[in-house]
Amino acid sequence: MKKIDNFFSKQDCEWFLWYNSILPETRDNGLRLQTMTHFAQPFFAKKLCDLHNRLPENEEITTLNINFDYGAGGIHSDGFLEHDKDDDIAHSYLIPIVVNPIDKYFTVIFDQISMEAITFNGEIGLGNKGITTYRQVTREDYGLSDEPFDKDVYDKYLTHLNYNSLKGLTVAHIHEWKLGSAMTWPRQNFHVSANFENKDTRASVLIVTRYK
Amino acid sequence: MIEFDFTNNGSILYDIEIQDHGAKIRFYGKNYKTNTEDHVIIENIYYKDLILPELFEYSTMSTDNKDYAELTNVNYISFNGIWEIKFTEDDLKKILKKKLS
Repeated sequence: MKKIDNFFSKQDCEWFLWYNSILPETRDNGLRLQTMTHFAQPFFAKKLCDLHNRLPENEEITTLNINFDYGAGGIHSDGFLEHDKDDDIAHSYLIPIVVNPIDKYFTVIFDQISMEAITFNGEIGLGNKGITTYRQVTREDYGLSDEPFDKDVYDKYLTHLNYNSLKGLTVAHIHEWKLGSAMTWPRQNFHVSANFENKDTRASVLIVTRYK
Repeated sequence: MIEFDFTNNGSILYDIEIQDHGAKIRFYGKNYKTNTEDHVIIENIYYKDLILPELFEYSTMSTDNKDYAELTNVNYISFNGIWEIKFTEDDLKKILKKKLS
């Protein structure tokens, strides 16, 4: 659950904003505008090498996208999908590239895990918002207990969600967003964006890796 | 901003002037009598770390050879002259759209 300060410089943040501006397609998934970076294309090879040089030697990138959030997300893990189910999943790296300096943003990481990429979005009142490729599961499917969720954490960070739907979840770490710093966690850990005020003021790059 | 990979086969010299959305390269020093085979190849073009050989389509060259005074889409340089490339953000969008479609 570490944070890597200065993972991106100010120039790196600006580069991703520029790159986003010349890519042909951005999709709206109900909570954010998301741009796939096409990182595996030959034209991206130099940048990909640069990014890999910032990661641990035994990890490689499997997902790289740019997100402009206008709504706080739902609870999900970044585990494997059907097409990459044999991957040895590694870490998620979330790097803010736009933040409003007068606002604070957080990402809450839970102790609970799923090696498959799944989400409780339907269960917690967000329906299919924020869902692109992750499988929806219920609390019963996953086997969450009825232990009440930490009320202080809920009141401070997660009021966009149904409180009772969080029963059984426990908090492992709360990351605060900082421009250019990478917030990391094991891909299998459930996580969620904290609620935030100004809905058009933040953007991030998400890097997801697997072990080589 | 913009970068190039060169292969220099001979004694041609060059100076590069980088611009916001382009570059101007002056090739000079070729002796057409003694070094007829000398040439430079611009192997690739990088713009902001993206590898975009499609940008050659936006290149022109004016040379000191009257039969080849003005050339377009040039990556093989065998004359003294000015090679130039200019493009816009819209050109970059078109290139990526084509590559990704």
